[in-house]
Amino acid sequence: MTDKFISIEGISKRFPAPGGSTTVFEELWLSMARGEFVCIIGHSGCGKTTVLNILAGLEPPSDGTVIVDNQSIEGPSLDRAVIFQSHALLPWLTVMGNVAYAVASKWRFMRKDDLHRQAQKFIDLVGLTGAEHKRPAELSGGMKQRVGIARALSIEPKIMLMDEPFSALDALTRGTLQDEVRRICLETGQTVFMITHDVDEAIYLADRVVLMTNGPNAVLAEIVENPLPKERQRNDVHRHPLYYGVRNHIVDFLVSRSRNFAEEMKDTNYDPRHVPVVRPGAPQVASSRAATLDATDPGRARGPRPVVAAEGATPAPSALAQHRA
Amino acid sequence: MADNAQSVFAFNTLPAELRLLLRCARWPLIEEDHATIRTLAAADDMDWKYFLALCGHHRVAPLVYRALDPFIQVLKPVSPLAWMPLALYTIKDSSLSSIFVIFICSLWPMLINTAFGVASVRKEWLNVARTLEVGPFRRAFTIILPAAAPTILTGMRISIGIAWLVIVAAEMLVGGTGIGYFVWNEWNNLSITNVITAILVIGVVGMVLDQILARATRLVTFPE
Repeated sequence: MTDKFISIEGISKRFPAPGGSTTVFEELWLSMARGEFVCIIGHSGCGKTTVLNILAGLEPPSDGTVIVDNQSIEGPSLDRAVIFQSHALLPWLTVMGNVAYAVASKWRFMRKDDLHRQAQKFIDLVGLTGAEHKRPAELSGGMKQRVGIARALSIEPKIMLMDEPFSALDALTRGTLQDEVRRICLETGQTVFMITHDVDEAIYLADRVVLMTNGPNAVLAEIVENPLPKERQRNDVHRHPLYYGVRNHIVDFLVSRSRNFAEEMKDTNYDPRHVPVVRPGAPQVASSRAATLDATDPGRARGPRPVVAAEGATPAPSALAQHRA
Repeated sequence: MADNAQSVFAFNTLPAELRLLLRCARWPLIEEDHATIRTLAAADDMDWKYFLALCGHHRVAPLVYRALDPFIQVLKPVSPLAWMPLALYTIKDSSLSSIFVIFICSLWPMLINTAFGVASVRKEWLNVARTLEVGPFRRAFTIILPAAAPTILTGMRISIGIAWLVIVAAEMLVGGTGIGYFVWNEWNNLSITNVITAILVIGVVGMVLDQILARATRLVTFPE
């Protein structure tokens, strides 16, 4: 069983509204293992940012708790670094100043040269060597986001929380930064929870993709385990035989299932504590519930169906059936 | 409504400060409420410190401000220089009372801008401080102060303009020293050239003061 490094246990969020309250989501359960990269995908307004804020400790849940490394969350912490959508750099500090500010927040009595050394290490890691003395106004959007990433990494957090970090960037920069983030996370074994709208980004970066239905009363519909190998490269990942299986599954979800999930829930006895895990295109690892879902659901668009092999069936050649350890 | 209140508790047994607070919180405020507020506020035994503490505790300061605003508005059009005789009468020292009048005239833009600047620090930066577990003092000096600095300095720049105006006027009124006194004295000597020269000097000094603070504002303004 995966060790539950991060365990989201039955969180709900409700806001008071005229005539009662609006429920953003109710009874959300999710767990993450150490070193895992999890992406959450869903339409705008479904509550993904609220989940991230609760994970970060910036907002308290109306119910439920989040447990990180066997300790429940009581507010924002240096263990959970956040990368905001709009970089949120302090404009009066230089690049070095911004990263050193974070380092100094974590290690309050570190000496100045040690602070600089630690900050420099992460500035080099994100590829900004030579730009240390620039202020945010002199940086491009991509560079600003890199500083945000360096700042989050420099405090060596237990988990990095990224709120659509690349959505404010152009497509080319986005691609470069995706490569950087993937390289860094593989190198450092960082646990990451990321919100994104981009299906391709999610498939390229994540080990697991969590699908969230539309709000209000959003639920986690499914967890898609990424069947692609860990050594994937951005420029040819789409050539992988399993790529479009996963991609179509997620796009099908976003196009129709995210809206109509309430009916699906009734048919399949949806249990928020055991969100169905799907592995499109590879021998099924999770329960048969997911198999029932694929086989009987009439609402799914007929595209190339992900292959849901029965348990124990002969797997395809080893390149395609990468079981995660 | 008032009858019901009277039957459940005796309104007059409540402390004067609480009575004033409750009156201010009435909605809508009609004429007789204003009259009652005036009477209650003018009472001898009003403990204003207690009253302000009550307002703060119940976070009803905006309501109280709304109720007391008509009275504050009456004082607004009064030229601050008109406070000079009162100041001379109470403080009894001409230079000290000039300083007092200059102070109360020029204080407001700085105060208002500081409050505004601190209140409009970007929420994102405060969230960054929260996620980095920054303590309140460190947050005040490293995030709130630099973020609010341009607004605070703009307030100071406006304040110094007003202060310079009031300095010259106060010197004219009180007499004895200063360029204001010089202008008035030269007018009494019918030396118009000196008056005009003095006016030019006043203008130049005012401009220089303004520019110094403008430059200081530019130094602390960082575009994003």
